[in-house]
Amino acid sequence: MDKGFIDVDGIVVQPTSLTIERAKAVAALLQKDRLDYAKLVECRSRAEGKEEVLVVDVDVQRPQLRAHDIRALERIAVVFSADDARPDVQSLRSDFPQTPHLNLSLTEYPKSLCLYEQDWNELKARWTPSRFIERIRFWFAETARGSLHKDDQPLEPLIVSSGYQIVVPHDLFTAERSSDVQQLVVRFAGDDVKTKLLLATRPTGARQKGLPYVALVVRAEPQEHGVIRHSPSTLSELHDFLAPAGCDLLGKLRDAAKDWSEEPKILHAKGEDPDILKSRLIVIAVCPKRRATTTSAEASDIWTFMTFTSVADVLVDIGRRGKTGGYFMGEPGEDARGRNTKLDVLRTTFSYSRDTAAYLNGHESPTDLKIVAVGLGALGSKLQLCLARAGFGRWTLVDEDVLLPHNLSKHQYTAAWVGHRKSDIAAIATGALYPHEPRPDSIATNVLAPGDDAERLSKALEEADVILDLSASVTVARHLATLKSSARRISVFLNPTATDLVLLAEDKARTISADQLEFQLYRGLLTQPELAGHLEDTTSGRVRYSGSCRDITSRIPDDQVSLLAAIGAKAVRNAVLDEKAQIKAWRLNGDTFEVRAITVPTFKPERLKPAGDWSMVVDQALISKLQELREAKLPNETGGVLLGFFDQDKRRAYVVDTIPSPPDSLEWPTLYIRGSVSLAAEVKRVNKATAGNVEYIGEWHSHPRGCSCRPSSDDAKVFAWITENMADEGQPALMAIVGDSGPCFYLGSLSEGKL
Amino acid sequence: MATLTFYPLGNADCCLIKLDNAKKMLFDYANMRVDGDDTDKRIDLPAELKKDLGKRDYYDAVAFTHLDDDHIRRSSEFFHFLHAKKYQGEGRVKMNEMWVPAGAITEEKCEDEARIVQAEARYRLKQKQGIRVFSRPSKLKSWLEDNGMTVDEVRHLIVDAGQLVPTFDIPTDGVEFFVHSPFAKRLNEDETEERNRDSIVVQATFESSGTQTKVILAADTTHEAWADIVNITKFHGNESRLEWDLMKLAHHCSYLSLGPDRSTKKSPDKTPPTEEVKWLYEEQRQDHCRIVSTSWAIPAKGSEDDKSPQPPHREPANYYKEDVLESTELKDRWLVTMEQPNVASPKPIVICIDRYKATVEKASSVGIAASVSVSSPRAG
Repeated sequence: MDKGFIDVDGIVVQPTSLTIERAKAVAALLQKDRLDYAKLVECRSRAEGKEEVLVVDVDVQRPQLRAHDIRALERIAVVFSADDARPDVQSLRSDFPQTPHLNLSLTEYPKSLCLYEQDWNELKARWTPSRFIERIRFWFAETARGSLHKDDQPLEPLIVSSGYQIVVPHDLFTAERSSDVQQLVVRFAGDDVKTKLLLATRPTGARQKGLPYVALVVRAEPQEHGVIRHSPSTLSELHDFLAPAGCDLLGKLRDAAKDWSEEPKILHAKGEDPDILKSRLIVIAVCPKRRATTTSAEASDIWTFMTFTSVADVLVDIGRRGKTGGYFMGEPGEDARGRNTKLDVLRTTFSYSRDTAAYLNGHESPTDLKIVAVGLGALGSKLQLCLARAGFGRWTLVDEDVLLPHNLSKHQYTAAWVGHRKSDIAAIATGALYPHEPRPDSIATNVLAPGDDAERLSKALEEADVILDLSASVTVARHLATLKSSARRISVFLNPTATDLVLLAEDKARTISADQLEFQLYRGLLTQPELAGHLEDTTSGRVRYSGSCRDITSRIPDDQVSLLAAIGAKAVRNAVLDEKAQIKAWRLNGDTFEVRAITVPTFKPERLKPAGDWSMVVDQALISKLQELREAKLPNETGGVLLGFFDQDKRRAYVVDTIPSPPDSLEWPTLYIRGSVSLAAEVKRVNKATAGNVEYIGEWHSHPRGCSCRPSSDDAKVFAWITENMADEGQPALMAIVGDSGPCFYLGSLSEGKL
Repeated sequence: MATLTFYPLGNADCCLIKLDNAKKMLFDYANMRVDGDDTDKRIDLPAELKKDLGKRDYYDAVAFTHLDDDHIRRSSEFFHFLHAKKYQGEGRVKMNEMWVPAGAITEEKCEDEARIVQAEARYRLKQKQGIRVFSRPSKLKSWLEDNGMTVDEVRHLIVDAGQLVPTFDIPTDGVEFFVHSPFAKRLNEDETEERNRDSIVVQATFESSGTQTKVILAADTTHEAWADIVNITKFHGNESRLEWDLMKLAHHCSYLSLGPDRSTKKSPDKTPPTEEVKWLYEEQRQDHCRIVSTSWAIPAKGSEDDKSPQPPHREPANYYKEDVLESTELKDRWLVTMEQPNVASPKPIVICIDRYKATVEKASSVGIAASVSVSSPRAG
């Protein structure tokens, strides 16, 4: 072998004598001499033919500015094994740099390249000799640029490991360096110890006895190159790796040992766990990395090692304890450097954090808006958890209901939660995602009658950035829309057949309130054909209680609710990030599963003076429509009926739309008599299409050109007639007159009620 | 990412520059391949360029560094020339802007292809558009007067040495071209115009994410011309304009671009550079710089080719490899167009320029990649 390269074991064989299929295939390709950038140097056989090695020279595409010292020509050994394990690709350079994406081997050289992130068994289907060679060249090329390995990617897989995995706190890198050495509590993550999954958490202060492991976190100074260059087999080797990076591992262990080495009864008396001596020791080494030009750390490697022996044995091996017990003070001898303490490398992963959550959901960063979610039923529970698990929102969860068995058909949470308050369940589940953070508040109350929770609830609502109504109740939605808080209101609900999802989102400045948006939605139902049938209930045998057009019947499939809940989650996220008001609907086609998005236009309400204790909501869409109808009929007068809703509770009149002049009306230049052909049927249709939320609320007519909207003596008679009829309904009278300068609205009386 | 592509054309030049903003330009065009000769390893340049152009039918700029055959051969078959109908028609490639040295306008008694290219350049100058002439305006004075024009009328089309070519700038294009040659000095001193000394030489500075990559595109510059360039650049304090990450060698690795003697007794296998050239190569090179020689393979010592007076010469190559590149990692730093990736089957050298500076592309072309990059054989 050429000078400067690491010797490869085995006897040299001819390519034709190879027996392992993949080795044969790669050698055959290279021998054809059709590859410009890879040349076969030699083939070797070893381990009685169980391993075959191809020595190959590859040309590397490398830039002028390189992150790592990768050469134009790199010599590698590819080790194929007879059992068809993943071929091991080793650099034969004895000075190969410590780059990212190297496998951790027992020895420092030869370096073993980590070519693939996927499982070898999954790769086999796509594996061809030329792709394999190209993948090796790609590894070198990207490593030369320093772009193979993203900082946030998990660390290199471990070749040498007993298969244990440990979950460490996600902020181990960033947490305050309050003490040099942190002690963590380690337990098995689940009941099944065969999972080999350990969970390391910060001690809570409560005494925890008999834990199988104790972990110490030590920190190295930022280094330009990786600190752990191969898998250390003993504590002593690990110490030697860390020492040049300013971390005296043995010293730190000896310091920590002061607390552990006493006799069990003393430990017990001090409130320590006397069994700690029987635990096994885990060392978590945090090794920050920096670039050559900077001094601050840019990312960190984290390595976890587990001893095979007990803490007591480790203390003996580092000179802090006698073989029969007792704490040793003083300078430990040269023989007490942890050489007998064997180590195993653990795969290290991080606990879930909001940052990780956002990242893994494809978002830049978590969103810290304070969100009060009201209503955690089928739709609400799914939608809220979907947002929360992406690191979206700081939540307060409000729902009085208890999870009942029949809820299980569609609710996010399962049978184990039956009997718990839905708000508590969601709070616990959301909190469990991020155990390092305060758990979301749960307020198990009815927002319409909060009772003892009134104060807590109103404080939460006042402090919120967003009030998210998922209640499936029009009454709750209107209540939330009008209560005192500067929070933006967003409402998401399903139609009765769960084919449509609707989002109403106020603009950030709250110029259009959620209740106004609700009535603009109704106008959309009346005027936009693509929304036809939105509130019509086609399912049979449905029990429905008054005023609620949104509550879901019991017989709709969970798949529909889940699908629309997912859309709702995304829609809420987008609505929050956008400052504008929106009314959007998504309609599911039950046959093709296609979803159609429908936008209903939004309008700012006009500012109108209140009439007595009544206020009125009118917007430009209606005003324009009335003006257009007048224009179309000039010089004659025209008119029609007004559609909308009198909210008796809030004393608010919403004027939404009009039914224009019926065909039998009399329309003269100075006279208008509204006809009635088909009017009753049309009013009924409107009523049905809006589930009773929009009805007849009054009359309007136009005045001729050059006239104002002041009522004439005839108009006074009409108003009296309206007043009489509406009084029977218990509603106020409403009349609008459209003149040159637009409409005037008269509510309750012609003098006072002019709006 | 910008790219520079150097084509295997034997001793001849063509460099395609592609910019991030999709602009494309050529430095020289010389179709050297003998049609129908399967043993000719030089690339079919028009086919290769058209493959790159796709549906596009123009270059934003085409520079003819000078009118020697190995920089212009068969241009009149490839380009759409405005001056005569017979050089127009389907499949020809337009030049939005033509760059020529002043000599290409003023030179007398041009023959063959040079005459056609000159006619095009003269036509464009008379039209006062679609051209940039490289030299001092006064050099063109008498030709302009003979043709009923004044210097002021065409001043905006003339780029003098020491200036940036206004066609491209870093904010828009990610590149700027600083002109080193031709300049007036030689033309003043010499009665005759000498193409190699008065050819276009530029330093192209590419910028990507704040990283600059400097490329010197030397035409057939002689060591005397280099000396002039070096001295005048130093005189103006413009040393940084002779820094280079990538050097396109002058004159196909001829020793005459290094010094007067191919070799000396003291240095039998290596051309000694003149003081100015030595400074250019050894002081102005950037870390891990690269050199491209647009030439035939460098001859082996003692071979027939080695004895030939024609470039490429082994002795200057030894200087570049040993003294400039310091014999370090020559595999992707010493790039001879007819040797890459191997002498048996040369392919274009593609150099990508980005925030990592220059990277020599080594895209493997086997299997599927090989199948889809060429036409299939004829099927029955």
